[in-house]
Amino acid sequence: MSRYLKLYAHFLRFSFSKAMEFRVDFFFRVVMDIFFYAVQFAFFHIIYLHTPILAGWDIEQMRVFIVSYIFIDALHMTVFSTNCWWLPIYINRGDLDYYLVKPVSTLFFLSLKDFAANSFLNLVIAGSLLVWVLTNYPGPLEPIKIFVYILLLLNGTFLFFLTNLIFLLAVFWTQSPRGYGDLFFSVSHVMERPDRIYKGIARKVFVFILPFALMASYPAKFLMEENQWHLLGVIFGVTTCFFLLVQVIWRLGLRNYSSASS
Amino acid sequence: MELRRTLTYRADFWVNFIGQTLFSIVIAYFLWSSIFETLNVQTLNGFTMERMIVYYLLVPLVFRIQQGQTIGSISREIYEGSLNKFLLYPINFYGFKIITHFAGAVFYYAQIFVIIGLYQVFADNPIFEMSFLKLFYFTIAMLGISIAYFCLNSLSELVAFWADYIWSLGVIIRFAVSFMGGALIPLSFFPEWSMKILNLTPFPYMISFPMKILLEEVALKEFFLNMTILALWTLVFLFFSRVLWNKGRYRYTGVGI
Repeated sequence: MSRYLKLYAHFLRFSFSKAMEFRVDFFFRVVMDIFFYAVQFAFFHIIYLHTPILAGWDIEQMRVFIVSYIFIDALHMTVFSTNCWWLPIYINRGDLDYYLVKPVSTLFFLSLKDFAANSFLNLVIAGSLLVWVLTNYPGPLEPIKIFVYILLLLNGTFLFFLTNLIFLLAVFWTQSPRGYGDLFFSVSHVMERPDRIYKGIARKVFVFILPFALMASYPAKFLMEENQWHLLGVIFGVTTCFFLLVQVIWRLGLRNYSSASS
Repeated sequence: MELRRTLTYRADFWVNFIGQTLFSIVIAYFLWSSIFETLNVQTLNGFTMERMIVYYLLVPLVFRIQQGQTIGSISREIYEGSLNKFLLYPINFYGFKIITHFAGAVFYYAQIFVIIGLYQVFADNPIFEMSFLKLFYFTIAMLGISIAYFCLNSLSELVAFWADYIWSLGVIIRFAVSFMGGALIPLSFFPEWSMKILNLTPFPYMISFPMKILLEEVALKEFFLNMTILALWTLVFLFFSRVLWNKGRYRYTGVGI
C-alpha cells in the first residue's frame, strides 16, 4: 500500500511540474470550466423560470444537486480524465507492453499516472461552489449527513470513472483508437439531471446498469431529504459490482490484447 | 478521404452515432415530460412534447454538420510542425482546411436526412413537412453556418502560434455555441432581455435558425436577413483569423513541440 502511495506522490510531483510548462493552457482550462459551471447554473435557472418545481426539488435544492455533479466532474477531470484519454490509445497502439512489465498493478498505474494539475484549480473552484451552496441552503443540514454526503461524492467520482473505463476498455475488442469514449460522453449527461425525472425501465437502467443516477442525484437526495439512509446500500452495492466488473473486463481484455498496433 | 477516415471503424461510428442520438433524446424526453407533467400543460412556449422531442432529435445533428471534422487540426499542424508542407504546397492552407471541414460535414448532412426521412415515414402525424424550398434554405444555411463555425473556431486554433496547448479554447467555443445557440434549451425559453443581447451575437444563427427552417416556415425576407447577419459575422471572424495568421506565421518555427 505504502509503495502505491509513494508512487502516487511521484505522479503528483511530475504532473504539477509538467502543468507549469503550459501556463496558457492552465489559464484557458480555468476559463473553460468556469464557463461550464456558469452554463450549468444558467440551464436550470432558465428551466425554473417556467416551473417552480422539477423532480420534486425547488431551485435551492437543485443548486445542491448542480454543485454535486460539478464537483464530481471537477474531481474526475483532475484525477482520472487525462488517464482515460490515453488508456485506449495505449491499447490501440500496442504501447501497453511497456506498462505490463512494470512491477505494479497496470490498471492502477494507467488510471492514476497523469494527475491533471491544470484542472486542480477548477477542483478548488468547484469545492468553493459546493461550500457556498451548502452554506446558503435554507433548510437544516445535519453535520453527519454532510460528512456522508462528501464521501458519497467521492464514491460518485469513482463510480463515474469505473463506468468510463467500461466504455473505454471496449477498445480491446474494437481496436479503434477511442473505444466508446464519445458514447460515454453523451450518456454521462444522464448524471446532470435529477434521478426522479427518469421513470420505468429507464430508471432501473440508470440506477443499476448505467448508474449515473447514483453518482450525484442520490448523494444530494441523501443530504436534503429525510430517511434516505437506505440509499447507501444501493450506492455501495452497485459501486462494488462495478469495481469487480472492471477487473473482469480488464483481465478478459488483456487476454485479447495482441500488443500489435492496428 | 475524410469520408473514408470517418468510416474506418464502422461499428464504432454507428454505435456512437445511434447511442449519442438515443441518449440525447432519452434525457430530453424525461426532463421535459417531467416539466410538462408538473405544470399539467400540453404546450409550453410554443412547444408540445412531440415538438420538443423532434427538436432534440435534430439539434445534435445540426451541431455535428456545423462542426465538421477538422476541429483541432489547424492547431495540431502548428504544434507538430506539419504546417511546413502547406507552406510549400501550391495550395491555400485555409482553402484546403475548409474543404476538409466540408467533407466531414457532408456525411453528417446525409445523416440528418436519413433521420428526417425515417421520422416522416414512421410518425403518425409528423409535426413538420419537408419541401424542396425547405431543403434549399436548409442546405444554404448549413453551408453558411459551417463556414462561420470554421472561421470562428480557427480564431482559437491559430492561437496555437503563441500558446502551447489550446484545446480548452475550442471547447469554450463549443459550449458557447451550444448554450447560446439553443442546443441545450430552445431559445424561446430564454428570458426576453437575454434574447435582445443574444440576437446581437452570431450564436442564435448557428443552431436556432436552421432548426426554425426545418420545423417552421421561414419567409424569404427573414431567411435573407439571418443569412446576411451570419455572413457579416463570418467576415468579422475571417478578418481576425487573417490577422492572427499573418502575425502568427512569422512566429512559426516549423519544428513542432
